[in-house]
Amino acid sequence: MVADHGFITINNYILMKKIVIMSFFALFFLQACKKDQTLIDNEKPEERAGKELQKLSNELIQSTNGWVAHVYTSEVKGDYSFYINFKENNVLTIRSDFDDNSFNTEQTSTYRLKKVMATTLIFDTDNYLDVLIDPNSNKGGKPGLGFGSDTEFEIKEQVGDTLKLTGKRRLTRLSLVKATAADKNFYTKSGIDGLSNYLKANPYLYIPDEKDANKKVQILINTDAVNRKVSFSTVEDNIFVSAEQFFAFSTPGISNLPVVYAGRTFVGFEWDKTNQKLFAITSKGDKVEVLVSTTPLTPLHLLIGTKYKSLTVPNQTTYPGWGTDFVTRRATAAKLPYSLKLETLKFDFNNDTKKVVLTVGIPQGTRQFYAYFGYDYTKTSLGVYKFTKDPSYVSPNGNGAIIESAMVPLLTERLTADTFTLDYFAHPTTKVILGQFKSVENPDFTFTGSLQ
Amino acid sequence: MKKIFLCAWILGVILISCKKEKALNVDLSKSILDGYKGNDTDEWLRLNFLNVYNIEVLYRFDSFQLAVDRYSTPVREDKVKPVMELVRKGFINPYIDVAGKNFFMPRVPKEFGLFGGALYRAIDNTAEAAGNADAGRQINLFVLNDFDPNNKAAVIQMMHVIHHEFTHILNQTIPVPEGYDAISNNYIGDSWVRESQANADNMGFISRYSRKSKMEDFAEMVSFLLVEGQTAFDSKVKSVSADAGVKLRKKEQMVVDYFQISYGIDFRVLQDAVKKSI
Repeated sequence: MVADHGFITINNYILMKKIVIMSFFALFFLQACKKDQTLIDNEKPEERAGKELQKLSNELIQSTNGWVAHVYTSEVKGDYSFYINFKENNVLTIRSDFDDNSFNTEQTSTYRLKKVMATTLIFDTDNYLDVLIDPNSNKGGKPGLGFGSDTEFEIKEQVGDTLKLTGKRRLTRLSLVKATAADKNFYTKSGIDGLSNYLKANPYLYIPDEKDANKKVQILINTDAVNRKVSFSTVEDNIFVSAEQFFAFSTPGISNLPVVYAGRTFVGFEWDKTNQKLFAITSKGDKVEVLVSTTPLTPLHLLIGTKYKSLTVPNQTTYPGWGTDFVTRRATAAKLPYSLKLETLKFDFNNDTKKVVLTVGIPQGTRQFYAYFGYDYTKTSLGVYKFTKDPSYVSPNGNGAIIESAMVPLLTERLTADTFTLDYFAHPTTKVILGQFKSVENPDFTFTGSLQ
Repeated sequence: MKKIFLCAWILGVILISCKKEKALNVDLSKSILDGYKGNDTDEWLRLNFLNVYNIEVLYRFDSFQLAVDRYSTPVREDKVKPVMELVRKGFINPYIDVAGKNFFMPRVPKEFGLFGGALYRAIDNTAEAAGNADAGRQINLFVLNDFDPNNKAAVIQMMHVIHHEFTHILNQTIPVPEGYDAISNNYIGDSWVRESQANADNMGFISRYSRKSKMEDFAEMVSFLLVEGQTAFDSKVKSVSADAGVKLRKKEQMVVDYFQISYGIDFRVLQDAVKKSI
């Protein structure tokens, strides 16, 4: 009996367990397949997403004065401004602050808003924004990367009249701010154009020192897209002191990240279009009138190796400021072995060690290679340079040896044979300030390059 | 018995619980997650390519059209029509005229992707190609922002890309003939970028890119013969060494035979039609 009783108990127990498990399953099925649903706002997710997209689209289109965009690039660090009008049917018009052409000529292209992972604004046909992405941009930038920017931007945040976006590939920051009537005027009614012309006509600007009115603080505003910087500088006992920041053209003139110089913090410039005057703006809101000098305030040879670390001779066959002897000799040197092409010549100066490294861009097909040459230099107090080959220099690769014999006309027969002076050279059309080396012994051997 | 009862019970529960009384109530017209609106260019493409050849032209930039480790830049809208007109004139029309719609329509890539810049590799930011083909379905054309229909060299270069890519599509159904790669066997993969034109000439390759693989070599041969033309090919043969010339002639013959045997197309007639069109 006892044994029997025990058997029945175990059987009952198994049956009980089965029923419990079955009931669980039944409950799961019933619950899982429940059809009722409660919708927040009585809308399905896709409907809400669609509405949000439509709302944003309306907001972009309905801004009467359009939008001011700032793109903060990652490869060539900078801040570039654009004036955009979004219109119906995916059409937009755009101007940018790169140069005369881009702020005077409006471009039309398409755009669209799309829900991908987040709401995404896509500039889906080419316009000025792509100058910053273009790996072969004629405005400069790094090979394969351009200035470092994006085509597709995710909308991250909306604060008042500002939309903050982030690029999908390179995480580029883009801000879109609803434009005011003043912004519209600045970008479309030759505000930016007038300022740009003023800067071209007056390359040597200064403000008086706060403490000593006889001392001049030089202001250099380089508008060249790839080297765009504003700098404040003085020379004290032949030592150059400076501070600089990149900037964008922006109402009412120029906006830059704060530059601290001699006790004052400068945040931008105000352009008085009517009186053709420029004022430096401090963080306290003070306006300091910018004055015009007709001659350079600082000799270039004091700046190279300090303010300017390098001089880059562009990849051209002729260029403003190049002497006939340089052009001929460059053409001779361009016959490099192994299908290599002679492109840029970049001189990197080190003021402390008095050494200079010449980096020669020698691509082969689509692959970029560089060759390196090291030199020591001496400089007289009047700025006459003498270069000698640096016997201790170890090239990071063997490419220098490969092209050395082809480069003899430029290097052995001139660079290390002659002495050189260095001076400013204004590009005749763009008015960008370049550096020019001139051989004392062979006045026809001169070459210019951009200063960085 | 007990088991049958159990099974019936479970089935009953499932059937009752999953019974649907209403139709699925999703109104897709309210679910617009892409604000794409067609314009005149889209309409022109629809009328001239989608309706006629079942080709969709994707010109509005979408990074998902490219592999995640590749990138390019958007095309200028005003380049779209000239580029596609050239595609029709120099590629679609000659094939349809010579080989017929029955041959062409099933094989023509269904999507053309247009891009403004070159195709770049994300790993080293190096330009890779001026065109590529994806699974026989899509041909992508790059560097179109520099395209000028009046620039003969640019036109030839672009037609070269398209005919090159289409050859790959033909090779996907009927492969490159046996023995083709034995004619000049110096295929070197990606190292081709470091090799000179002179080396390629000496070994009987039509271009530097030909040295990548037999697939690329064959496609380069076909597109050179079609686009640059027979005269250019003959003078190329004359300009290289005798040995290299023989190799080029052998490859030429294999190309002509391939079209005849595989697809019944008279390659010489096709060559004339392409040459006349551009």
